Amino acid sequence: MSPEIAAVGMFIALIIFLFMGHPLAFVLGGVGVLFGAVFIGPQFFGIFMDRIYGTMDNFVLVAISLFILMGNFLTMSGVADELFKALRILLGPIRGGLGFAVIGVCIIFAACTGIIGASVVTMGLLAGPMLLRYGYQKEITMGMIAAGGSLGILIPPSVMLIMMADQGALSAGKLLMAGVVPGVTLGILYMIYIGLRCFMDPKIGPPVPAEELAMIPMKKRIKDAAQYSVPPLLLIFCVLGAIFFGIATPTEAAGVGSFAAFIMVIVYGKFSWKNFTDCLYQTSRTITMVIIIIVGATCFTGVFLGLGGGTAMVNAIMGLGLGKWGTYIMIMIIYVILGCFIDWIGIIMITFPIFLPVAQQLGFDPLWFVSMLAINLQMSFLSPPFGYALFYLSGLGLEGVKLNHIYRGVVPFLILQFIGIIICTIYPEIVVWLPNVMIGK
Amino acid sequence: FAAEQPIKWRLVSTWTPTINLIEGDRNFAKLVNEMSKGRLQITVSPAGELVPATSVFDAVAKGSVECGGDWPSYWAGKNSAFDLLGSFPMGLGQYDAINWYLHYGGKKIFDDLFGKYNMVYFLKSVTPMESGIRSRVPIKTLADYKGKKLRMSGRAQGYILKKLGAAQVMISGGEIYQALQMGTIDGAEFSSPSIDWKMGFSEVTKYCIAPGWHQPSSTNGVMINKKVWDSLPDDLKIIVEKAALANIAYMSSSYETGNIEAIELFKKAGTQTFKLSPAELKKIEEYAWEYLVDESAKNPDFHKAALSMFQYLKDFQEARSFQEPFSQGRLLYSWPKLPGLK
Amino acid sequence: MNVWIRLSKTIDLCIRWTGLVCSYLLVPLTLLVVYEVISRSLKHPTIWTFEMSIFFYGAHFMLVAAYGLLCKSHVSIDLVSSRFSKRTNAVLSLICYLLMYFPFIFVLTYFGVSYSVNSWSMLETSWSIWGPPLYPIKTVIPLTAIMLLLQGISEVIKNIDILVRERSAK
Ligand code: NA
Ligand code: NA
Repeated sequence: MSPEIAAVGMFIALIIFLFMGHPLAFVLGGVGVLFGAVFIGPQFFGIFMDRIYGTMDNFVLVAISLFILMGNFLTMSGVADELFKALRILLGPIRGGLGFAVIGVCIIFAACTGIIGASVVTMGLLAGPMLLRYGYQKEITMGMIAAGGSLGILIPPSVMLIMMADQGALSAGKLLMAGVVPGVTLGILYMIYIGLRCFMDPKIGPPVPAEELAMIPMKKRIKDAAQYSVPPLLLIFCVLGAIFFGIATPTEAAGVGSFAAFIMVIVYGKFSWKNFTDCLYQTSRTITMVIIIIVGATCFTGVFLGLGGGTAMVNAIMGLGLGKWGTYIMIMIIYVILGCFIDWIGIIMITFPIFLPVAQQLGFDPLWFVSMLAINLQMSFLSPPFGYALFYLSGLGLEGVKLNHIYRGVVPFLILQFIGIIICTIYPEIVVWLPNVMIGK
Repeated sequence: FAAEQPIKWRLVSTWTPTINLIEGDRNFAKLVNEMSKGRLQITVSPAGELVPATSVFDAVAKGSVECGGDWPSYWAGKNSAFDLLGSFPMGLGQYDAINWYLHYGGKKIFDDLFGKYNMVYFLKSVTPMESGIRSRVPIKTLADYKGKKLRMSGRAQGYILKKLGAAQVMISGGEIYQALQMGTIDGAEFSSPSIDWKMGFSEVTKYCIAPGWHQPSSTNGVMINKKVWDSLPDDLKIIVEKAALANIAYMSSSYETGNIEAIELFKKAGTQTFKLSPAELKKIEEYAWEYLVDESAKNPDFHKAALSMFQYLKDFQEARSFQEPFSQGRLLYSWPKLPGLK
Repeated sequence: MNVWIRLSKTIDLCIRWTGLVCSYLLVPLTLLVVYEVISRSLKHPTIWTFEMSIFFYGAHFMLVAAYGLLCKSHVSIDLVSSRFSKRTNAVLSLICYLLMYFPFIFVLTYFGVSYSVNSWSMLETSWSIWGPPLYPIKTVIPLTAIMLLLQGISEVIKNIDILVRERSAK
């Protein structure tokens, strides 16, 4: 069997078993084992150990664990509750007001971390339950968290952009800068969308009822907001400051953040051993859900690449000879498809050596081209049926939220991302302006 | 008369595509493929594609893949003697490493050590001195090392930094840029100038302190699983061996010439370079020998390798001094008035 | 069948217990990271916290994986399966365990054991100056695999039990 067919076979097997309801992590691993045993030979499975150990040995991923812990401590301390309560009253008269706040926090969060799991899960833990409680529609709630959380890989710092720069022989600084404007623009597009939707249909993102607002004088509203938002803002400052002033790496900042959140648990008198243990239990379940998927994916990807499937597929499609813009569109489509199945590290490894020389030949600016791939990969995290952001959100098990709420919720945001890609394609300055101004051509 | 099936090997590299050390692996594979007329086909996988860089050793030893490209210091955790073979502070220079390996007992040391782990080994390039430390804050003298957080790999290097009052920070190659930019570390070594340039370090560091005492040269080789090697036809074995040999000359010199342009580029980008004095280097040498003797007492393999290596250096000292200043090239006093010379 | 159910209950209990113990690994992980940040800002960076915190992180997420399976916290897609009967789902689940889960976990166990034995036999250490032993953390892989193997057996028993009870209910 040729590598192309084996590779397609892997995708099909993956889809079939996944829809039978088996956990994704083990389906990924199982498909890897079946195809590896048949097409490469069992000796090859030694690399599973190396790849899994590589996941266990990854300092960057430590941040996922610590951010999830921070999120749970913040919930336990009740601070997150109070913050959203205060924000709700303050932004009360505005339809979809809380949605703006969520996207705003997502952008700030994105500026702190570059790991998709960390921001989606943390925002899901903090904002998800609140939005649902205050009557926000499930779909838009899930959509905004998935989309907002995924901004983390586009707005620096971003592990993915650094790795792309490394593999693409580009300056890491320039590529990181190139992510800023598209990332923030997407965030603003999300806000505009939320605002419009809620303006047209207040049931989606209800404003605070006028009677409730009338009972609280403006002065108290401002006072409450100040009082309740100080502790969590202090925490955000703690985390952000640690990164910005070079005291800590993002991973270390996450550790400081969870420690600070734990202090808040004590200060607010919410500490008890039972609550503490429950909180650790809860955190463990979420962490293992996120990272075991990465473990399964790394085994799947290892076999897929070992078969030569990626190269074969990409080569076959590149051989079509579609001309400059035809090839560009084709590359974008391949990215969305691959992004659904393979982790981004694998995608970069397979495609960069093939795509980048082609892009250069066709006369694309490498900086702009790689940035477009990054924006596109971000899209693949939330495109149904496969997308890591979707899976992480469904793994949180928020009350009453089903996978199809998440699927339906992300569609409008995907359309916005698509519009974003078209805009950046027509006006490449959006991408390359900032890095060229800040660092020079 | 059935046509012979081509033999296919996967070579997993310890380098990613932008670190041009991977060219050493690629050129070796190309030589083998050409010389064997396709009877032995080697395909190179960059680090991280099949296995992470630090797992290449295990993958080859266990036979998950047929062969791997390496820098032996990465395997110091398996046996500290590997650290010595990869590079040693104040130790062998580029041409020294080749002399020692080919004609002064080095090959036997490599063979014995890798043989212990079920592998056959061929040296296939030696890179010249690394850049030294690139830093955000000026480090002009040895005394300036004190209190600095520096990214530097290797154990002997860690020992020396400790003696100098600096802290060794372990960060992978891909994270150095950001760590320098954010000030998480004060300085870092990564590789030679041509590779450092591609990593964009000129954007985040303004200073460099040379010479690269931490790695005067680094060896790169190919590890081949023993069982795989034994099953290879004899004529192909010779081809692999000769390809590695040809690769040593071609690639080692290619890395050296790549630095010419890179050093110029760093200079244009405004990097200020300082140099350690001979007295300061002597101090570092003392610390390096301390570590060497300590580790030799702990590990017989290390002792055996160190003995062979330093016996070579000691025996060569007389000849080197006789050849001085021509033994390893020299700085010219003046230039001939040659028409056309820029 | 009673014996099997008891076996499944025992496995569940053990795994729940390991989940509790291993969840506490998050505490030293956080403290180590905080300690390093503080000591570095006081100009006394350590050489050991970096690797030590990675060990805690790696051990934690792996060792609670079986507990995650017990609590059904690993992500699965229930879009299609939620429309089927309990019985059909049990059958589908058994097929998946047989074709996907156990082959994968068996490979993890088999290769994981040889991976850690290999590391023990050379008393492998990290290549940093601190040079901590790596065999304990590498042993986490086969341990995780064995725990997943056990929990998988328990899940299979539960599914078979559903089938048996549905049949006797008819
Ligand atoms: Na980010
Ligand atoms: Na180096």
